Amino acid sequence: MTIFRLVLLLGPACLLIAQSDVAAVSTVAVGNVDLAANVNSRYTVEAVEIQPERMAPKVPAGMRDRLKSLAGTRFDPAVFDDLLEKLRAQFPKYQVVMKMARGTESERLRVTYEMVRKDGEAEVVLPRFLYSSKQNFTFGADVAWRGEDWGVSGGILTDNDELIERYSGLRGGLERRGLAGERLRFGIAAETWRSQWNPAVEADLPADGEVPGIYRTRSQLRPYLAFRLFEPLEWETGMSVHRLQMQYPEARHELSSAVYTTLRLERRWKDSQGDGKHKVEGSYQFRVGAGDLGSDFSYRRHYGELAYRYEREHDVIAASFFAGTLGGNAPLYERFVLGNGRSLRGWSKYDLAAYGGDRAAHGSVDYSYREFRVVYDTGSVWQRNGKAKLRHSVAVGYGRGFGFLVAFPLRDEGGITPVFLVGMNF
Amino acid sequence: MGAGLWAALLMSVEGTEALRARVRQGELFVSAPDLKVLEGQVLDRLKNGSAVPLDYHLSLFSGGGAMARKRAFERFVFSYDLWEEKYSVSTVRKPRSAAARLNAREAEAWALEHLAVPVGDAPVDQEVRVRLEIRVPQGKPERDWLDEEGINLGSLIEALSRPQPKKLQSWLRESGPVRLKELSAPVSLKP
Repeated sequence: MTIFRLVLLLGPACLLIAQSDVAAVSTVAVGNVDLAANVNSRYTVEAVEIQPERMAPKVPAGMRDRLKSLAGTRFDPAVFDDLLEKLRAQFPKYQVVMKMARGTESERLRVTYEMVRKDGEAEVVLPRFLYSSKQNFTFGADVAWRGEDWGVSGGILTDNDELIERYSGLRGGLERRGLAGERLRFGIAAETWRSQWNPAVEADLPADGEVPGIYRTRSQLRPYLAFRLFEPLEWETGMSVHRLQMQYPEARHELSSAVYTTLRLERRWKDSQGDGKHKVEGSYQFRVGAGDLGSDFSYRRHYGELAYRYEREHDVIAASFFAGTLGGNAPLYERFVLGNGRSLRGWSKYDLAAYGGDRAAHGSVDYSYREFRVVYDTGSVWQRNGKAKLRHSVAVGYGRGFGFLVAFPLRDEGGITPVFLVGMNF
Repeated sequence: MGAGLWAALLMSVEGTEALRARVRQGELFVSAPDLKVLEGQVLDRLKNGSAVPLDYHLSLFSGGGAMARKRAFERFVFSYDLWEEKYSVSTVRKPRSAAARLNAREAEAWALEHLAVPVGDAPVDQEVRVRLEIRVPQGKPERDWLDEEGINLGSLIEALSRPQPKKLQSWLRESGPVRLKELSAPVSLKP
């Protein structure tokens, strides 16, 4: 009863307060600051920091300079958000968050990018999955653990797409990273494969022995060292030692040792409006196998590739090109292949060059709208004394990343038999 | 003063109030004194200096119908002044309205005051229900389990098992039914 009386007494007053509370605090202007952005954009940035401090040297020099240059400027959320995205892209294994706090002086702010490593957990990755109606399944699974400085990985793979042979077996690796201010890494990769051959390969191999024969097994050890020269460019060098169990004329082991050097470039950026994303990737590799390295094979191999990708809302356009030459007496796994899941889709690699080629050039344009995809491939694979014949194919399909394609070889003569491809990243 | 109003005041004292609705110049407004959105993760982000957008949906349902008869949507951006320790809030659509130097409850109330459903043509005797839904907007869902390196099984399992969408922070208040004619003066709706 007491409560009821209290309500009767105070009710109308409460109601009046409730009705007027919003009006009492309605719009208050704060200069000409765009409040939709952030009210703190009227303050000046006192300092920009990376936490923990030991991560600061790992941030590329250009980005560090950019962070430093923002001290003393008016806080612009768009600029700092853009840098946050760049740091996240640069350190995908870290959780990066931006925090602001009061500076030491009035109306100044300290901006901190906090980086926390998401490591310690083993990852299971399926790096390859592809079914081709011409070349059957390709499938791989890897387990990887990446610590602060060390990474270990191992996996299984059966691949009938990349090379002339189907190779199946195990692979693993150990890598040390984070040296020389995150610029240097080194490691060793090991793999052991059992090879299976399409009868067309043996049937087409030249009888004069100019091209080495097929092998049953292939094991490799590959120590390497990679150094980031400057922001988008990395240089890698290493040695690959292959032990091959040759099949003919009798089972025996041969060694294929080669040193290699690779220049690799990757750059990503956004449109000035921020709604389009660009990516350029390129690499050039030179490999040389020589008797001085204890190798039974002596050869030189050059290979270069360049790819560009532009993505904006529902549209993705990608263009890529690669070319290579091979000279000398190289084992079959070094030969170039077209007519697989990434080149001249629709053609069979055994129809184009059953035992591969020692010359190849290929270009591709790939367009997607939402999930619908159209691909055009053109290229040639040929022998050094032969004649190059340019071939073309088109493919249509559904799905980015994971999806399917129906690919048609564009032949001058004969029927067109489509090839069905389903899988990811092809 | 109507019986509905006294009932509302009683409910207010007992702390069971959900939405307080009123019709003004043909538009239905709500207030929700017990609804606190500037708390938890949202508050953490604000106090770290970030601006936080929140999407407000106000829906009006006829009787027991499941389809909304009228809807209103507005995105509000909140931020927290690190030096003045006060909140600001603004609309995103133009003409843009904004308020600053508010405390948390005032900022929340300001947002609701700028959200209205037109009810000018609705029969005043019709029973209606009102729903207020507030969400932290989610970016385009990332397909983080598939990239150039292949399918990451751990991320795929996480993506398949996570609630839809991921850890969506939202608030919901739904109440009624009440006749529109009773809302010309402030009335609290039973939850």
